[in-house]
Amino acid sequence: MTEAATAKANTVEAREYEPQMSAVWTKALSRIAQAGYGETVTQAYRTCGPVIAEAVSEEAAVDLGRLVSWIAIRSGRRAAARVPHTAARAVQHLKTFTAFSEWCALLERTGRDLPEAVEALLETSDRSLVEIGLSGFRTFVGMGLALRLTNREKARLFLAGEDPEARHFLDRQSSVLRFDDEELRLKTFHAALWGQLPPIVETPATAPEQMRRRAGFGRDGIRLPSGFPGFDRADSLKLYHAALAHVGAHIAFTRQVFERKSLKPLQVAVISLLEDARVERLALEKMPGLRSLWSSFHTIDARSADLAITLMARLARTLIDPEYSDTNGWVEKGKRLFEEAFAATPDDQTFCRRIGGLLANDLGQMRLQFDARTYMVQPAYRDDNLGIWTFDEEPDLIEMDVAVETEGVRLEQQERDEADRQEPEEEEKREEEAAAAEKLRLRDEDAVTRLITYPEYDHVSRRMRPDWCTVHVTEAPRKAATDLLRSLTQETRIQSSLTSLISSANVNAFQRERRLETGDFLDLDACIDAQASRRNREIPDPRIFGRKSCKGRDLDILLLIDQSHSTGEPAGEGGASVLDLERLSAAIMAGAMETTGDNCALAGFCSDTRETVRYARVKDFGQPVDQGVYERLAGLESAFSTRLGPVMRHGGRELAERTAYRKVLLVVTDGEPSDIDVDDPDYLLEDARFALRELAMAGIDVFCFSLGDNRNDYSDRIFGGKNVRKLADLSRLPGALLGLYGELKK
Amino acid sequence: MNAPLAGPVKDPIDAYRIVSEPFYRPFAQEIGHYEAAYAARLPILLKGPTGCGKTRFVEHMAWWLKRPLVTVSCHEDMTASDLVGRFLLDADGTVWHDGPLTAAVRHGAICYLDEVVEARQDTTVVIHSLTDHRRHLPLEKKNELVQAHPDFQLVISYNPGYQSVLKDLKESTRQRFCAISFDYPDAAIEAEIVAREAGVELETARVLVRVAERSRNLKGHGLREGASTRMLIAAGQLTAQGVPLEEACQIAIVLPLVDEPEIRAAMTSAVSACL
Repeated sequence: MTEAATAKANTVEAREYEPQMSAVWTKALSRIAQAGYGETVTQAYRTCGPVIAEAVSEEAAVDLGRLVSWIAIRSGRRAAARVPHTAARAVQHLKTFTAFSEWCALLERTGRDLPEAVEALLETSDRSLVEIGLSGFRTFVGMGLALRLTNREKARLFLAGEDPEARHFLDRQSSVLRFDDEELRLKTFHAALWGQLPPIVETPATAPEQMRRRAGFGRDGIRLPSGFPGFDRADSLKLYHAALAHVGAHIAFTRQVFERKSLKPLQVAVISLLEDARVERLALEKMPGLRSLWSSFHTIDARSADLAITLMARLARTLIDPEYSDTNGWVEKGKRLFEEAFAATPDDQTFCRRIGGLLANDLGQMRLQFDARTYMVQPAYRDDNLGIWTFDEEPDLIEMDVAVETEGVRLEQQERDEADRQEPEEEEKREEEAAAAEKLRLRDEDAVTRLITYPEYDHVSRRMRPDWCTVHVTEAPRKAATDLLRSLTQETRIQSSLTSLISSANVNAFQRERRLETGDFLDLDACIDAQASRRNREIPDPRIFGRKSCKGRDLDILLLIDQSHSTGEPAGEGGASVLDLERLSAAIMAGAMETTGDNCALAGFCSDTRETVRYARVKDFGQPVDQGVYERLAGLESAFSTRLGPVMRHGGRELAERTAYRKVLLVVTDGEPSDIDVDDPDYLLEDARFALRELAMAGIDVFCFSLGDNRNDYSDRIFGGKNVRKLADLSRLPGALLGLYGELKK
Repeated sequence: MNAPLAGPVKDPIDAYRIVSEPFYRPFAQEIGHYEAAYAARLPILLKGPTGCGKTRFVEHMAWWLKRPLVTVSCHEDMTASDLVGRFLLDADGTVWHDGPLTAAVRHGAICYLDEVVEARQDTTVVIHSLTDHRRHLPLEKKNELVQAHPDFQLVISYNPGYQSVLKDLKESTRQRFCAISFDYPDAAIEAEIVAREAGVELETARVLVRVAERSRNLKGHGLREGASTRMLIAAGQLTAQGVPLEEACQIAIVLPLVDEPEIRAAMTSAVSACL
């Protein structure tokens, strides 16, 4: 509850029943009083009714009575007693009767469908109305109630705002500037400043408070808070910039991590402060403009009370802001020691440790209190310092989600045991962390997984869930391609017929253009005409040249290969799996398309919950079909599930960057979309349909080749019958592909 | 091309002579290497990003060696006829006109084909016979074989960075050349060049070079190329005209380089970090 809301609620308690209300209201009140719900409920209704009548209308206050009865019957007296109070706060945001009625209707619906969650929902109502408005609240309730069909407890937690998905939704919908809003801009800024782009991710909602509120870095990259509450959009944006500039300075100039050993928290904090100042100084030598960006957040005043944290903030300010002066002895001493040491050896970070130790001891002797548990590095743009220390007891704080992914997609690891992995040995860990800064410097962007979030369509609420799915884009792992190559040689007949079929669709490769002003050859007809004109004493037409030009087909095809678990099952005769079939047809198609001059790209996909939708690049546009492509194709393995929507959206994004006239997304799959975190059988199907519509609007044609046993085939429903080709075995491939070309030529 | 083709000029190549010394600041041994290659009349390939001084280098060398310089900017619609020449319609019928390459071959100029990979591959094949021991240029349409003038040399340039894989030099073409690689000069030298060419203080030039470093960091992260030395000189010239430095960076570097609003915003923030 916000402070303003609390104040208002208190006034609600204080107000007495006002006699100018009409008889209808009195009747409604006495109905509640006589229903036997208890005095608390009646009292709440009596005090809050007039507030609602005043803010909206008396009719609204009477309607509230009906809601109170309904909730009392369905969810109990305690919930019912809270309804009038919550309603009185809600009307601050719901000014009209229609809006208030809708709010009541949402509670009523919750009372009917999931009575045990009403109390929880009343709890979330305040925050939701402030941050996401009534329409957002409507969607939120819709999403929560939809969950009850499969898991009532999860639905209750969702409506209470305690479920991570609910938190995610509420966070995304609120109007505070979030990291994601400006992700591209911030990442580009960081790359421009520091010439490298380690993975930058949002701190997960499950991290401890101190980590969530400050930026940080570690061997896996940089994490940024999902937002800076309390700062407006412009300031938040500036803070993000300042934080990235600061973290980049650490990565560039903090050569080794400090060893914590037996240092006290205060010492750690002061040493970190000096190291922060040192790397900022070094960065300023290259980029002096950063001074104004950083110092604008150093707002501490020399007149502030002499506490440990304020003195530290003042020292930080005096080290960056040359116009600031502080007469405090400790601050002056700190500045003097720092300046002397920095002037002598600016690149030597050990002086921070030496001076910091001294200064921290001084603070201790001044008997100033320092609480490490609540300490937050100041100002807000500075990182939490976890990245420059080796901590013995909290290494998991520094681990991030991307840790596992950066080493490539390990599909064979089907058990989801990543969470309870064995911790590496202590020794090993310390060594790793010592190499952390170095590793960060060495990291090449291509070597890591790119994480891209996409929205997903929720057919229940008929809304997009923003940033719902994370697509992990990697290069597919390589594996010996002997089997694939053997099958390819066996299928030469199909290959050659396919190539000739496709190239026959490619008529008019060369065109003669005539009557041009310049060109490769004289156009004889035009010359004769020109001569005739001259003889007739007319002005000849100077366009007497011709040119041969090649008008190649302008077609880009992206082939997406389903590698979900079900593709591991055998298809048809011979024991080959669906994935084998997919691989083979992809290899044949790619080869045929390349020889006829069409551009094509290949990628495999599967998903393991919405957080991990894997997209493994096999062949990019413009890359030739070579051994590497075959090996990456062979490296695709059947695992996990099929979440088509985000994959198609990512494919659309890849194609959107292409300039071809005709762009085609071809999905090769074996069945219905599914994922383990989705229970509603229609959800992913509807999302895929929605993604298809988005792609169509972007001018991308989507086709599907459905392979293998087609008994449970949902592809028709997603792609539409005419866009699906069903291939029970490989021999149908040329025909299907030719059909596709025919469709494209229309 | 630096001058019109047609028109009755006595020595058609005279217009291509470079009279005054073009400024060029060497960064390594490239001048000595070029002289050696010219002495042996070996064709030269200049590689490097746009605006780093390739063309200026050729101009400087042509001036130094006192040879006329015929420059052709290649483009994808360029045909072999555009290089070699063609029959044009005249009052008396069709008359042959030499193209820039033929003119250079006949009269002993240095022919510089700028951004040669932009031209279609079949076009570039015409230079093959000029770049090996034969040193002649067949004019098929005219049925003539032009033997190269002893002073003739061919120089081509290309930027290996941003062209697509499809636009690459044929192996048979690239193996005929000696290559000199160019890149943006070191910060100190680049600042010197910018100060000299734009007529600004060395300190201003240093700031511009820092801005350029930021944009070059973005190669592959939203930009295909970072800011070139040429761009920095333009920004410097604007400041010399009284435009404040930050605005000059905006109009001469950020805006021409970037279209996407997010990248532009990031680039603007990075520029202000350098000032």
